[in-house]
Amino acid sequence: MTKSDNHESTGKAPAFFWKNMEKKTKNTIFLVGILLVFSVIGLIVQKLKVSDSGKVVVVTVNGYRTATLDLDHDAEKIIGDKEHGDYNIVQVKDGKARVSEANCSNQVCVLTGEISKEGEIIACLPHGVLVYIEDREEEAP
Amino acid sequence: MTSEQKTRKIAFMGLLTAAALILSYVESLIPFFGGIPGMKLGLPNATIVCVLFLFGWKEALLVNLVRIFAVGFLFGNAFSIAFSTAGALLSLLAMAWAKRSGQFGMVGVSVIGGLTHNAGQILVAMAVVENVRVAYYFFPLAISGVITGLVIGVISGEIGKRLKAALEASGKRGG
Repeated sequence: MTKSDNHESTGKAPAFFWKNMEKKTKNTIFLVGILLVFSVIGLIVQKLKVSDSGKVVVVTVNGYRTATLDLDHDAEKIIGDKEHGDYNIVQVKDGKARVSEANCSNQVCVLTGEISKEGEIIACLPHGVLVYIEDREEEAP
Repeated sequence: MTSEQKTRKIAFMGLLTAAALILSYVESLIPFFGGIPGMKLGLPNATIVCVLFLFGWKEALLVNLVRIFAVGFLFGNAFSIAFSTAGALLSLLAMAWAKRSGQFGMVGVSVIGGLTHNAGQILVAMAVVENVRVAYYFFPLAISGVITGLVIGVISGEIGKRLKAALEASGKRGG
């Protein structure tokens, strides 16, 4: 044990392997621990915040709200221009929303599948489209 | 640096770029899971971490950019190139800084890389759809970034150890 090992002076007696561990390894364990604890807490808080009131599906294109659909009524809406340009088809069925069809390059929006809980999103980055679930009360008049 | 050393370095970097390309391709074959876009293993980052530790941040940047453009032209498009560049640049910047601080080894640096890569992609996604609600994915992607970063860091450590030995052995043979 060299003099430079200043963890000796902390007085506490951790498990012996902890003492002999390299500083970089300790830092990494701290980093991973802190990050995981914070993100898991964040995720739990995010999930708990979800309320059960009536919900709507909001579609924004480049930040502009272009459609609001009621989650309780089955519907289908074409966002964009299906004949000549970019389009995403948003489908509401059995209280769930999904992008059923799109002509974007990566199809991430279609693959994301169904959303139904408040805050959940479907993003189509190539088209700048975002579909998300919102509380009915939040809806702009 | 003698010309032999230089040649060796170029050859090694070429080798690592090829490895990064293959890993990018392998990763593109794995469909995204959990309904969370952006969640992935980050396999190519193993080579980037190795280059960062064996040579330096400039070399790592070069290998990463060549990888992104080659993969983009082969299997992607302009959009995927722009999107991966943003995540890759932010994570490389963070990894270079983490390495320079001297507080972290390969595993810690890789964890920081995994986290910042995902954070960078969320920021770009926010800018693209012009809606902050994309942050919904932050926590799940932070968790996955840390865990995959950890795994990739351990793999990088093992690969890096052997690469370093190979690099030194080829040096002793006199190129």
